Amino acid sequence: MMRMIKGALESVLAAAAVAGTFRLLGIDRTKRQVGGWRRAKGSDLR
Amino acid sequence: MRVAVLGAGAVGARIARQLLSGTSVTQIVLRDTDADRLAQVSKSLGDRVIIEHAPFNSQLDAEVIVVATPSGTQMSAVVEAMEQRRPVVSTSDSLAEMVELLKFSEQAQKNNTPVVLGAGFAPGLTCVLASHGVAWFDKVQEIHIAKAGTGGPSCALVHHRALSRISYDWRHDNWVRRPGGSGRSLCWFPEPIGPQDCYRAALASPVLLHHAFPEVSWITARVSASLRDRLTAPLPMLSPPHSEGGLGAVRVEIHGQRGASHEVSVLGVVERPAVAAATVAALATEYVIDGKLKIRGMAGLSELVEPIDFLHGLEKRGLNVQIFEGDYEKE
Repeated sequence: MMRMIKGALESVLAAAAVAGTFRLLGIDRTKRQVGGWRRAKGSDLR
Repeated sequence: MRVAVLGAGAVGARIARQLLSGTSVTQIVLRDTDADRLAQVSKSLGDRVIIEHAPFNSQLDAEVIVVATPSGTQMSAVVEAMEQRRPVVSTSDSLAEMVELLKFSEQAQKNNTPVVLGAGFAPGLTCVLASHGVAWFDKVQEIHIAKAGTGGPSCALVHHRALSRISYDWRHDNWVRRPGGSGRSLCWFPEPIGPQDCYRAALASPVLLHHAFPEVSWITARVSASLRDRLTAPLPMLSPPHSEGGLGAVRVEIHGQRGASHEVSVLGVVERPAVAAATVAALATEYVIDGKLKIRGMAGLSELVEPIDFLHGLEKRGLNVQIFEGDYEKE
Protein backbone atom coordinates (compact mmCIF):
# COMPACT_ATOMS: atom_id res chain seq x y z
CA MET A 1 0.00 0.00 0.00
CA MET A 2 2.76 2.42 1.00
CA ARG A 3 4.65 1.55 -2.18
CA MET A 4 1.57 2.38 -4.25
CA ILE A 5 1.12 5.77 -2.56
CA LYS A 6 4.84 6.50 -2.95
CA GLY A 7 4.67 5.57 -6.63
CA ALA A 8 1.63 7.79 -7.23
CA LEU A 9 3.31 10.72 -5.46
CA GLU A 10 6.47 10.27 -7.51
CA SER A 11 4.42 10.30 -10.73
CA VAL A 12 2.65 13.51 -9.72
CA LEU A 13 5.96 15.16 -8.79
CA ALA A 14 7.55 14.06 -12.07
CA ALA A 15 4.61 15.45 -14.08
CA ALA A 16 4.79 18.74 -12.14
CA ALA A 17 8.55 18.95 -12.74
CA VAL A 18 8.11 18.42 -16.51
CA ALA A 19 5.27 21.01 -16.67
CA GLY A 20 7.40 23.47 -14.64
CA THR A 21 10.38 23.00 -16.94
CA PHE A 22 8.24 23.70 -20.03
CA ARG A 23 6.85 26.80 -18.37
CA LEU A 24 10.36 28.03 -17.44
CA LEU A 25 11.47 27.51 -21.04
CA GLY A 26 8.51 29.62 -22.18
CA ILE A 27 6.84 26.76 -24.06
CA ASP A 28 3.15 27.46 -23.60
CA ARG A 29 0.15 26.17 -25.53
CA THR A 30 -1.53 29.55 -25.35
CA LYS A 31 1.08 31.04 -27.67
CA ARG A 32 -0.08 29.02 -30.64
CA GLN A 33 -2.23 31.75 -32.07
CA VAL A 34 -0.83 35.21 -32.56
CA GLY A 35 -3.22 37.96 -33.40
CA GLY A 36 -6.38 39.45 -32.12
CA TRP A 37 -10.06 40.02 -32.57
CA ARG A 38 -11.55 43.06 -34.22
CA ARG A 39 -15.15 44.13 -34.50
CA ALA A 40 -16.73 43.28 -37.87
CA LYS A 41 -16.82 46.31 -40.14
CA GLY A 42 -19.36 47.22 -42.79
CA SER A 43 -17.45 45.38 -45.51
CA ASP A 44 -17.41 42.19 -43.40
CA LEU A 45 -21.19 42.21 -43.21
CA ARG A 46 -21.89 42.67 -46.89
CA MET B 1 -49.91 40.21 -33.26
CA ARG B 2 -50.13 38.07 -30.14
CA VAL B 3 -47.15 35.85 -29.30
CA ALA B 4 -47.00 33.13 -26.65
CA VAL B 5 -43.71 32.69 -24.81
CA LEU B 6 -43.51 29.41 -22.93
CA GLY B 7 -41.00 29.66 -20.08
CA ALA B 8 -40.19 32.78 -18.05
CA GLY B 9 -36.61 31.92 -17.16
CA ALA B 10 -33.43 33.80 -17.99
CA VAL B 11 -34.10 33.46 -21.73
CA GLY B 12 -37.92 33.47 -21.89
CA ALA B 13 -38.34 36.65 -19.83
CA ARG B 14 -35.85 38.46 -22.04
CA ILE B 15 -37.52 37.24 -25.23
CA ALA B 16 -40.81 38.68 -23.97
CA ARG B 17 -39.16 41.98 -23.11
CA GLN B 18 -37.41 42.25 -26.49
CA LEU B 19 -40.55 41.39 -28.44
CA LEU B 20 -42.52 44.03 -26.56
CA SER B 21 -39.88 46.65 -27.31
CA GLY B 22 -40.52 46.23 -31.05
CA THR B 23 -43.60 47.22 -33.02
CA SER B 24 -44.70 43.85 -34.43
CA VAL B 25 -45.95 42.34 -31.18
CA THR B 26 -48.93 43.86 -29.39
CA GLN B 27 -49.39 41.32 -26.65
CA ILE B 28 -47.46 38.46 -25.02
CA VAL B 29 -48.93 35.40 -23.35
CA LEU B 30 -46.25 34.31 -20.87
CA ARG B 31 -46.54 30.79 -19.47
CA ASP B 32 -44.48 29.17 -16.73
CA THR B 33 -45.01 26.53 -14.07
CA ASP B 34 -43.50 28.81 -11.40
CA ALA B 35 -46.11 31.38 -10.26
CA ASP B 36 -43.59 33.40 -8.21
CA ARG B 37 -41.24 33.79 -11.13
CA LEU B 38 -44.10 34.81 -13.41
CA ALA B 39 -45.26 37.44 -10.93
CA GLN B 40 -41.74 38.81 -10.67
CA VAL B 41 -41.21 38.92 -14.43
CA SER B 42 -44.62 40.38 -15.25
CA LYS B 43 -43.96 43.34 -12.92
CA SER B 44 -41.14 44.50 -15.17
CA LEU B 45 -42.96 43.80 -18.44
CA GLY B 46 -46.03 45.99 -17.99
CA ASP B 47 -49.67 45.46 -18.89
CA ARG B 48 -49.16 44.05 -22.39
CA VAL B 49 -48.33 40.69 -20.84
CA ILE B 50 -50.91 38.07 -19.92
CA ILE B 51 -49.46 35.58 -17.46
CA GLU B 52 -50.61 31.99 -17.23
CA HIS B 53 -49.34 29.45 -14.74
CA ALA B 54 -50.12 25.75 -14.25
CA PRO B 55 -52.70 24.26 -14.70
CA PHE B 56 -52.78 25.75 -18.21
CA ASN B 57 -55.74 26.24 -20.56
CA SER B 58 -55.59 23.58 -23.24
CA GLN B 59 -55.72 26.17 -26.04
CA LEU B 60 -53.04 28.84 -26.38
CA ASP B 61 -54.45 32.06 -27.74
CA ALA B 62 -51.52 33.27 -29.89
CA GLU B 63 -50.47 33.39 -33.53
CA VAL B 64 -46.79 32.55 -32.95
CA ILE B 65 -45.36 30.35 -30.21
CA VAL B 66 -41.88 30.71 -28.74
CA VAL B 67 -40.78 27.73 -26.67
CA ALA B 68 -38.17 28.78 -24.10
CA THR B 69 -38.75 26.10 -21.47
CA PRO B 70 -35.68 24.12 -20.33
CA SER B 71 -34.01 22.11 -23.10
CA GLY B 72 -35.35 18.57 -23.14
CA THR B 73 -38.90 19.67 -22.26
CA GLN B 74 -39.77 21.44 -25.51
CA MET B 75 -40.74 18.48 -27.69
CA SER B 76 -44.47 18.29 -26.87
CA ALA B 77 -45.04 22.05 -27.14
CA VAL B 78 -43.30 22.26 -30.53
CA VAL B 79 -45.13 19.24 -31.95
CA GLU B 80 -48.48 20.50 -30.64
CA ALA B 81 -47.97 23.94 -32.19
CA MET B 82 -46.92 22.31 -35.45
CA GLU B 83 -50.01 20.12 -35.51
CA GLN B 84 -52.13 23.25 -35.07
CA ARG B 85 -50.20 24.77 -38.00
CA ARG B 86 -48.89 27.62 -35.86
CA PRO B 87 -45.39 29.00 -36.44
CA VAL B 88 -43.05 28.02 -33.62
CA VAL B 89 -39.59 29.09 -32.48
CA SER B 90 -37.66 26.66 -30.26
CA THR B 91 -34.64 27.65 -28.18
CA SER B 92 -33.65 24.07 -27.33
CA ASP B 93 -29.96 23.19 -27.46
CA SER B 94 -30.41 19.55 -26.45
CA LEU B 95 -28.92 17.11 -28.95
CA ALA B 96 -31.46 14.34 -28.26
CA GLU B 97 -34.40 16.72 -28.54
CA MET B 98 -33.06 18.22 -31.77
CA VAL B 99 -32.73 14.80 -33.37
CA GLU B 100 -36.28 13.90 -32.30
CA LEU B 101 -37.68 17.21 -33.55
CA LEU B 102 -36.01 16.86 -36.95
CA LYS B 103 -38.03 13.68 -37.49
CA PHE B 104 -41.05 15.97 -37.89
CA SER B 105 -39.44 18.09 -40.62
CA GLU B 106 -41.43 16.40 -43.39
CA GLN B 107 -44.67 17.10 -41.56
CA ALA B 108 -43.71 20.74 -41.02
CA GLN B 109 -42.99 21.11 -44.71
CA LYS B 110 -46.27 19.44 -45.64
CA ASN B 111 -48.15 21.76 -43.25
CA ASN B 112 -46.24 24.73 -44.69
CA THR B 113 -45.55 25.83 -41.10
CA PRO B 114 -42.37 27.68 -40.12
CA VAL B 115 -40.57 25.83 -37.32
CA VAL B 116 -37.33 27.50 -36.20
CA LEU B 117 -35.02 25.09 -34.39
CA GLY B 118 -32.15 26.01 -32.09
CA ALA B 119 -32.83 29.76 -31.93
CA GLY B 120 -30.31 30.49 -29.20
CA PHE B 121 -26.62 31.11 -28.57
CA ALA B 122 -25.21 27.77 -29.81
CA PRO B 123 -26.93 26.57 -31.92
CA GLY B 124 -28.60 29.71 -33.21
CA LEU B 125 -26.10 32.52 -33.35
CA THR B 126 -23.42 30.01 -34.37
CA CYS B 127 -25.62 28.84 -37.28
CA VAL B 128 -25.97 32.41 -38.57
CA LEU B 129 -22.23 33.07 -38.19
CA ALA B 130 -21.44 29.82 -40.03
CA SER B 131 -23.88 30.65 -42.79
CA HIS B 132 -22.28 34.10 -43.18
CA GLY B 133 -18.70 32.76 -43.08
CA VAL B 134 -19.40 29.97 -45.58
CA ALA B 135 -20.32 32.60 -48.19
CA TRP B 136 -16.69 33.88 -48.14
CA PHE B 137 -15.37 30.60 -49.53
CA ASP B 138 -15.58 28.85 -52.89
CA LYS B 139 -15.65 25.50 -51.14
CA VAL B 140 -15.88 24.81 -47.41
CA GLN B 141 -14.25 21.71 -45.94
CA GLU B 142 -14.55 22.19 -42.19
CA ILE B 143 -16.75 24.03 -39.68
CA HIS B 144 -15.75 23.95 -36.01
CA ILE B 145 -17.97 25.49 -33.34
CA ALA B 146 -16.91 26.31 -29.78
CA LYS B 147 -18.92 27.78 -26.95
CA ALA B 148 -17.92 29.14 -23.54
CA GLY B 149 -20.26 29.93 -20.67
CA THR B 150 -23.83 29.13 -19.73
CA GLY B 151 -27.06 31.09 -19.32
CA GLY B 152 -29.67 30.23 -16.71
CA PRO B 153 -29.84 27.14 -14.45
CA SER B 154 -31.33 24.86 -17.11
CA CYS B 155 -28.58 25.86 -19.56
CA ALA B 156 -26.00 25.02 -16.87
CA LEU B 157 -27.64 21.62 -16.43
CA VAL B 158 -27.51 20.89 -20.17
CA HIS B 159 -23.82 21.87 -20.19
CA HIS B 160 -23.15 19.61 -17.20
CA ARG B 161 -24.91 16.59 -18.74
CA ALA B 162 -23.52 17.13 -22.24
CA LEU B 163 -19.96 16.56 -21.02
CA SER B 164 -20.76 13.03 -19.87
CA ARG B 165 -22.69 11.97 -22.98
CA ILE B 166 -21.66 10.86 -26.43
CA SER B 167 -20.76 13.63 -28.88
CA TYR B 168 -21.50 13.45 -32.59
CA ASP B 169 -19.08 14.94 -35.11
CA TRP B 170 -19.72 14.78 -38.84
CA ARG B 171 -16.61 13.51 -40.61
CA HIS B 172 -16.28 12.12 -44.14
CA ASP B 173 -19.95 11.19 -44.67
CA ASN B 174 -20.36 9.62 -41.23
CA TRP B 175 -21.42 10.55 -37.75
CA VAL B 176 -18.43 9.84 -35.52
CA ARG B 177 -19.34 9.03 -31.91
CA ARG B 178 -16.84 10.09 -29.27
CA PRO B 179 -17.14 10.35 -25.47
CA GLY B 180 -18.05 13.76 -24.10
CA GLY B 181 -15.20 15.43 -22.22
CA SER B 182 -12.59 14.08 -24.66
CA GLY B 183 -10.71 15.81 -27.48
CA ARG B 184 -9.23 18.81 -25.69
CA SER B 185 -8.69 21.73 -28.00
CA LEU B 186 -7.48 25.19 -27.08
CA CYS B 187 -9.94 27.68 -28.54
CA TRP B 188 -9.45 31.42 -28.60
CA PHE B 189 -12.60 33.37 -27.93
CA PRO B 190 -12.92 37.15 -28.26
CA GLU B 191 -11.70 39.14 -25.25
CA PRO B 192 -12.31 39.14 -22.32
CA ILE B 193 -13.00 35.37 -22.53
CA GLY B 194 -9.69 34.62 -24.32
CA PRO B 195 -8.20 31.11 -24.63
CA GLN B 196 -10.22 28.24 -23.15
CA ASP B 197 -9.78 24.48 -23.20
CA CYS B 198 -12.77 23.07 -25.03
CA TYR B 199 -14.00 19.47 -25.19
CA ARG B 200 -16.41 17.31 -27.12
CA ALA B 201 -19.93 17.07 -25.68
CA ALA B 202 -23.42 16.07 -26.72
CA LEU B 203 -24.12 19.31 -28.60
CA ALA B 204 -26.78 20.01 -31.21
CA SER B 205 -24.82 22.37 -33.48
CA PRO B 206 -23.30 19.71 -35.80
CA VAL B 207 -26.76 18.22 -36.47
CA LEU B 208 -28.22 21.55 -37.61
CA LEU B 209 -25.10 22.55 -39.52
CA HIS B 210 -24.96 19.25 -41.39
CA HIS B 211 -28.64 19.72 -42.27
CA ALA B 212 -27.75 23.13 -43.72
CA PHE B 213 -24.38 22.28 -45.28
CA PRO B 214 -24.42 18.59 -46.26
CA GLU B 215 -21.40 19.10 -48.56
CA VAL B 216 -19.05 20.10 -45.69
CA SER B 217 -16.96 17.07 -44.79
CA TRP B 218 -16.01 17.87 -41.19
CA ILE B 219 -18.29 19.54 -38.62
CA THR B 220 -17.51 19.56 -34.89
CA ALA B 221 -18.70 21.37 -31.78
CA ARG B 222 -16.93 21.80 -28.48
CA VAL B 223 -17.68 23.44 -25.20
CA SER B 224 -15.31 25.02 -22.69
CA ALA B 225 -14.99 23.12 -19.44
CA SER B 226 -12.82 23.06 -16.35
CA LEU B 227 -11.25 19.94 -14.87
CA ARG B 228 -14.00 19.94 -12.21
CA ASP B 229 -16.70 20.14 -14.91
CA ARG B 230 -15.28 17.06 -16.61
CA LEU B 231 -14.69 15.05 -13.44
CA THR B 232 -18.14 15.70 -12.01
CA ALA B 233 -20.05 15.44 -15.33
CA PRO B 234 -21.26 11.83 -14.77
CA LEU B 235 -22.59 12.75 -11.29
CA PRO B 236 -25.70 14.77 -10.49
CA MET B 237 -24.89 18.49 -10.13
CA LEU B 238 -23.16 18.74 -6.75
CA SER B 239 -24.20 22.32 -6.08
CA PRO B 240 -27.32 24.10 -7.37
CA PRO B 241 -26.58 25.99 -10.60
CA HIS B 242 -26.26 29.79 -10.56
CA SER B 243 -29.32 31.84 -11.46
CA GLU B 244 -27.35 33.20 -14.38
CA GLY B 245 -23.78 32.76 -15.58
CA GLY B 246 -21.45 35.60 -16.49
CA LEU B 247 -20.08 36.50 -19.88
CA GLY B 248 -19.85 33.74 -22.46
CA ALA B 249 -18.73 33.52 -26.06
CA VAL B 250 -19.12 31.54 -29.24
CA ARG B 251 -16.58 30.94 -31.96
CA VAL B 252 -17.06 29.60 -35.48
CA GLU B 253 -13.99 28.45 -37.38
CA ILE B 254 -14.36 27.76 -41.09
CA HIS B 255 -11.73 26.10 -43.29
CA GLY B 256 -12.03 26.12 -47.05
CA GLN B 257 -10.76 27.02 -50.47
CA ARG B 258 -10.76 30.59 -51.67
CA GLY B 259 -9.40 30.67 -55.20
CA ALA B 260 -6.28 28.51 -55.20
CA SER B 261 -5.46 28.91 -51.51
CA HIS B 262 -6.65 27.13 -48.40
CA GLU B 263 -7.87 29.67 -45.87
CA VAL B 264 -9.35 29.84 -42.40
CA SER B 265 -11.85 32.38 -41.10
CA VAL B 266 -12.88 32.70 -37.49
CA LEU B 267 -15.94 34.63 -36.30
CA GLY B 268 -16.98 35.15 -32.70
CA VAL B 269 -19.34 36.95 -30.36
CA VAL B 270 -19.02 37.76 -26.65
CA GLU B 271 -22.17 38.25 -24.58
CA ARG B 272 -24.01 36.77 -21.62
CA PRO B 273 -25.39 33.54 -23.13
CA ALA B 274 -28.98 34.09 -21.95
CA VAL B 275 -29.00 37.66 -23.32
CA ALA B 276 -27.60 36.53 -26.67
CA ALA B 277 -29.98 33.55 -26.89
CA ALA B 278 -32.97 35.79 -26.15
CA THR B 279 -31.86 38.37 -28.72
CA VAL B 280 -31.50 35.68 -31.40
CA ALA B 281 -34.85 34.08 -30.52
CA ALA B 282 -36.68 37.43 -30.43
CA LEU B 283 -35.25 38.45 -33.81
CA ALA B 284 -36.11 35.03 -35.28
CA THR B 285 -39.68 35.49 -34.00
CA GLU B 286 -39.86 38.89 -35.70
CA TYR B 287 -38.66 37.23 -38.92
CA VAL B 288 -41.51 34.72 -38.59
CA ILE B 289 -44.05 37.50 -37.99
CA ASP B 290 -42.75 39.61 -40.88
CA GLY B 291 -42.64 36.59 -43.23
CA LYS B 292 -38.89 37.05 -43.79
CA LEU B 293 -37.89 33.38 -43.46
CA LYS B 294 -36.30 31.96 -46.62
CA ILE B 295 -38.19 28.67 -46.44
CA ARG B 296 -41.34 27.43 -44.74
CA GLY B 297 -40.74 24.25 -42.83
CA MET B 298 -38.46 23.02 -40.07
CA ALA B 299 -34.78 24.04 -40.02
CA GLY B 300 -32.10 25.89 -38.12
CA LEU B 301 -31.23 29.55 -38.65
CA SER B 302 -28.50 28.71 -41.21
CA GLU B 303 -31.20 27.72 -43.64
CA LEU B 304 -34.01 30.02 -42.58
CA VAL B 305 -32.55 33.52 -42.50
CA GLU B 306 -30.46 35.75 -44.72
CA PRO B 307 -27.32 35.94 -42.52
CA ILE B 308 -26.19 39.48 -43.33
CA ASP B 309 -29.61 40.99 -42.70
CA PHE B 310 -29.95 38.93 -39.49
CA LEU B 311 -26.49 39.97 -38.25
CA HIS B 312 -27.35 43.63 -38.91
CA GLY B 313 -30.51 43.10 -36.88
CA LEU B 314 -28.48 41.61 -34.03
CA GLU B 315 -25.99 44.48 -34.23
CA LYS B 316 -28.84 46.98 -33.75
CA ARG B 317 -29.76 45.04 -30.60
CA GLY B 318 -26.20 45.27 -29.28
CA LEU B 319 -24.80 41.91 -30.36
CA ASN B 320 -21.55 42.58 -32.21
CA VAL B 321 -19.73 40.11 -34.41
CA GLN B 322 -15.95 39.92 -34.11
CA ILE B 323 -13.41 38.52 -36.55
CA PHE B 324 -10.10 36.91 -35.62
CA GLU B 325 -7.13 38.28 -37.47
CA GLY B 326 -3.68 36.83 -37.10
CA ASP B 327 -1.52 33.82 -37.63
CA TYR B 328 -3.23 30.54 -37.25
CA GLU B 329 -1.53 27.34 -36.25
CA LYS B 330 -3.66 24.25 -35.83
CA GLU B 331 -3.19 22.44 -32.51
